[in-house]
Amino acid sequence: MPEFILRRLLIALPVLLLVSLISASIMELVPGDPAVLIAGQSASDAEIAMVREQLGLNRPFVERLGSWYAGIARGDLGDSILLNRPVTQAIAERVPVTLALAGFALFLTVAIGLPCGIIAAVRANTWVDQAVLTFALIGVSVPNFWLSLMLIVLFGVMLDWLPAGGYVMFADDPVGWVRCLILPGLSLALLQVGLLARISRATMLEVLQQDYVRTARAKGMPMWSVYGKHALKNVMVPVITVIGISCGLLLSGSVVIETVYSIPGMGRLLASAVFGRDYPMIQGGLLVTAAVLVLLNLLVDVLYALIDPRVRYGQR
Amino acid sequence: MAEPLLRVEDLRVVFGPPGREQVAVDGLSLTLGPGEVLGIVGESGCGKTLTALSILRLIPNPPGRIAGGQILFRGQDLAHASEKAMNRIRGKEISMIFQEPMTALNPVFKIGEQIGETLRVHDGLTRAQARSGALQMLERVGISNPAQRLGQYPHELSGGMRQRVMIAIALACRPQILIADEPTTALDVTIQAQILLLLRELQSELGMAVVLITHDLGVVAQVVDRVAVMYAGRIVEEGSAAAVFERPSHPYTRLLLESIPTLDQQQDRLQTIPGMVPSLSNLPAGCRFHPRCPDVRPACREAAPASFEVAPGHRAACIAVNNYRHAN
Repeated sequence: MPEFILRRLLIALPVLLLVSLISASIMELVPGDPAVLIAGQSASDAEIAMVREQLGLNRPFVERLGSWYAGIARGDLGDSILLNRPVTQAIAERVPVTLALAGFALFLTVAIGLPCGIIAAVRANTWVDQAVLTFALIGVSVPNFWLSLMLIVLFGVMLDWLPAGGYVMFADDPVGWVRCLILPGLSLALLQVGLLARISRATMLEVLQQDYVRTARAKGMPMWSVYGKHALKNVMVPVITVIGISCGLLLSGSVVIETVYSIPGMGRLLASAVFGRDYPMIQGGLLVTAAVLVLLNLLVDVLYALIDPRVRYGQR
Repeated sequence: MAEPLLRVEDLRVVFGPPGREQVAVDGLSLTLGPGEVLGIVGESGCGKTLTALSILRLIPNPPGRIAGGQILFRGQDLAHASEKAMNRIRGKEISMIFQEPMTALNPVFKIGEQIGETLRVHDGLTRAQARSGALQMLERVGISNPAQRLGQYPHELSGGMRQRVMIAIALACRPQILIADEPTTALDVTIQAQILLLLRELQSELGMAVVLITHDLGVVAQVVDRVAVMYAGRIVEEGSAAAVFERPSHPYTRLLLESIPTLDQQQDRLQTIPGMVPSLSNLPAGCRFHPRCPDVRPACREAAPASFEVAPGHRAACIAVNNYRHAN
């Protein structure tokens, strides 16, 4: 297994190099002069020259690329123009918030979507199945910004049960932290819950047709073992892949949700960086997000191999 | 004959939604004595697998279900037993092995676990006890390096090995009855012989009864005591293997036996039975074999023939047999 993980890490390395190269080239790829864009329409030539100096745009691209990689090696991603502070610092502050939000949404996705899908398949063509399918259809069709607004109006304003927005640190107030995450977590998760419920239902239906499920029944295994052990572990093989994809979608979906609920996470940081043309921040954010996704994929691959012995076999 | 271990009476298995049901097994009756090896033979689709699955109540429902009859195992009617009662019988009293060893084992659990869990569930063994029980079973079914195999997954084993593992699973709790549904069909000929020999050995060693389902008459001749020939959901002939093979009385059985190619006769064409097995949605009236029967008479088209005794313990469902008996 360690060999398998090492191999996957080595495969991830070129991906990260490519992503860092793309993010370093962003300023080259922007149409027009980024210095003019940043300084603004009414800026004087001196101001534009200053911005250019600050961004290092007066140096050749290759040289800037060299110092970008040297910076990455030192853990330095440059300074944010808007915030006037190191990019790494700003990101380090925001990443845990986004991870908490996405992690909570992932928990909801798996805790609701998987059991719903499994139960629907076991009770296929009954009212339970119909209810799950309807719920899943709603889940995948409702836009999350609209759902967010409705949840805020209902639970935040009319019922006043939960905060309508904002964020408190876990260390300051653990209960408040959970309360802050419930509405945004639900808004973010609903789409993924619907997708996961549908996919686990379809997979479970297929698995229940398999000969080994009949074997388990012929052995006299009780129902919980037939469904919860023999079938479930096989269902998890494709489902774990879907959960991996969900992780990526939850991270990118958090941009909208963080904005709606005023949560100070990576998504909002990057959204404001894009609007403010804060190129160093965009570059750094892109690199960190890509690294997180690559690590998530690695984790999924490892889980995949843990569940399905045939994958391990193929890797030897 | 002693009190049978298993008695199936007038079993009816139907498929499809209520109102548009198709009858796949129609009024089938058979008995199985303790330690007896019964062969059920017939073409694909004649209902032999469904009969086997019914005994353990494993027919996928929907679309299939048992619509009538009784399955008496030591006085208990399995056709109407609860799922919970069935789970105490499945794998413990009556076990089953299947045609496809490649897919019958769960790909994501180790061999040792798949054998051991039956012992844990039925005999209440601990993990360690179940492990040593599984090891013994692997040894008994002739698997090399059994200790190492316990930790392997099904994909690391060949087809013959997997069927041996299936047999180990089925026999771990020393059942009274083993139902073997075409256990050798998917295997190479040399492996087929080994598996049959193994089944025969284990049968006499454990003293269990075996229901062997097959379409291969060669297999039947090698191992069974008694044979039941099925056609289109019904038993058409039943008797000791010797009687049925030497004096086949139903025209279907005769044609089936004639269609086995032999080496001592020079044959240009293989013998076949003309026509097709009727589909369930379009069963002929009267005797279901009459459209293909070389001896068909007007009466055959009208009513299904009763089962007539050819000789003690040898019965056939054909009016020609009855006439023949009366003529003598």
